Amino acid sequence: MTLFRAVVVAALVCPGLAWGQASTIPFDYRERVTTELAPGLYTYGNFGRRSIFVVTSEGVIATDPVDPKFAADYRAAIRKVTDQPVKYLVYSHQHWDHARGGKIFKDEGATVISHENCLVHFANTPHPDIVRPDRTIRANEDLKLGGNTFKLMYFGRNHGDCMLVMQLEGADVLYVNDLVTPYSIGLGFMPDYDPKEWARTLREFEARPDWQRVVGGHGIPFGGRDAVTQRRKFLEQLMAYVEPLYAQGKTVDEMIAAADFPEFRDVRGYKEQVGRAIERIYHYYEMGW
Amino acid sequence: MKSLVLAAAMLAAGPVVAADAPSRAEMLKPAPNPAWSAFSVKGHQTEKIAEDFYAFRYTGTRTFFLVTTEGVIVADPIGPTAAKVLRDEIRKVTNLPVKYVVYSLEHWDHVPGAKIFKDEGAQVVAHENCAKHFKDLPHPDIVMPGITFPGSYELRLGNHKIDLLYFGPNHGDCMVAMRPDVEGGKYRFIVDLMTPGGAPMAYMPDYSPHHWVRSLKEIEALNVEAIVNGHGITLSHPSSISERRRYVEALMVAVKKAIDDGMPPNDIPEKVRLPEFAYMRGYEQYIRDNVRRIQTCYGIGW
Repeated sequence: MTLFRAVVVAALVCPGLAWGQASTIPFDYRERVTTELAPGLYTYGNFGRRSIFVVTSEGVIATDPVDPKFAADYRAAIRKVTDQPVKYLVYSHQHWDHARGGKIFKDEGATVISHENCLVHFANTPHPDIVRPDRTIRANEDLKLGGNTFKLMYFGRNHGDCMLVMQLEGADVLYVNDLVTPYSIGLGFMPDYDPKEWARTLREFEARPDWQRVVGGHGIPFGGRDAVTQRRKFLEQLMAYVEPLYAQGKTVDEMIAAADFPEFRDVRGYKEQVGRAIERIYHYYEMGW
Repeated sequence: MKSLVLAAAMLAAGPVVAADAPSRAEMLKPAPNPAWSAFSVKGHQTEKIAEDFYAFRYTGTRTFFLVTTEGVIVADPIGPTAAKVLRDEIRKVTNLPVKYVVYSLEHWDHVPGAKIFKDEGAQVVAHENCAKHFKDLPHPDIVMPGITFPGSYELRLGNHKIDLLYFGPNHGDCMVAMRPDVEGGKYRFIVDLMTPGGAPMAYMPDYSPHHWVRSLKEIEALNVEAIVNGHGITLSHPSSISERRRYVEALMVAVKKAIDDGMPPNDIPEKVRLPEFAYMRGYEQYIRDNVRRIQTCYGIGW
């Protein structure tokens, strides 16, 4: 674990790398820790899963419970920071690796919130550990608690169609689940991502001046603005690479064999994932999916 | 067009196989049926399946047309070039105009190219969920449907009708199987949900595994006698549906067990195997990615 930490931190601060200089704080691979990002704003998790929470004078706003075990530890971690009850639990989106385990929060009286499009997914692929939302929202909405404003923002389809991005007003942090995993290539098959809408969403983040750091649902505690730019540029370069080759009748294998994205060669996961990413984009142009 | 050939054949069928077409009797033998590997993806072919009912294949993708006393109903136009050839093929059988074009689903390897039929007055019919996809992800060669429906739909023209059977989300969420009324309605035209004798392609693009299995079960319960396939061999015995359903189920059971047994996630694609299905075309090539897709299904509920 120590070695992993040392290696990754070194990679993040190495001046020879084009990406990732912004995030240099040490982090742990397995142990879940609470990190204060701004007054009243915390992230809890490890490399595998990550959520955030907001502490106010009138209660706590928690986000993705992840699963029952994570949720119990997450609740305990919140208790170490404050005795305030959790008043709201907000799902970033519908996927089982983030939305399970809400019961512990619901039982203490929290109102569970998601985008309304999540409901059809909860109905179509039900999971016994997922608590259905008490309230759904359709467009951007401000959640107010203890004088704080927690902004729930909807950018349309990108990763599924019910993704909420969150920001504590006044803090320079955007909580963006899955759409960004700072300084990594991400999963090549892009499960449940629409590549074009994904890139559009990232561009919309980049156009907003009101944040400097991004917290993802996986990976290191946060990245800088360049983490969003990196992911967006990788998607755009992939699509720009595949589209003309598809039109020329090249096969997936031919595209993979000839592929090289020099800017991303040293990004975590590149070697393992780039072939799958090309295949995914091939299907985009083949099927419209 | 090379891309379309490869893409279409790979999408649902595994590696491309070209050989002389087997007889109808051979094609209609149950699974596992080696004759199902003997399909061609070259050129185009029109085959009379029954009186008034014709299958049309353009490279690796198949559609059909049904000739009625008042005009013709065409299923997927496949693409602008394919649609032109299809129109010429229809002309060889009848001078009646095409009155309806019916989309099986929303994907671009099946539905572009309806303009040539629309220009002669045809109406385009699709499940209403397809219209949303066409708006979200527009394609210049896709004609928006003028007639949409929320569930299943009965399309009548002249002396015939086609039932458009909707089973909910499975491969996308606007897929219909089609049942023309010829020969007592014994045929089903099915696209992508199964391809006889083949393993599903790689990461199973746009399939929802649970709903896929559910839909195949519902189709199996329909008392079908023969499938007209969107990819692969022209006709197949209904056990080709069960073959695909059993494969996906076995995959789900094996992957779930590996997860529950605590097998490390990176080992699962290397270790989970289904030897009883190793005979299927594309199995060796796709099993790892098939397994990865099911891991994702249990991992994120997608």
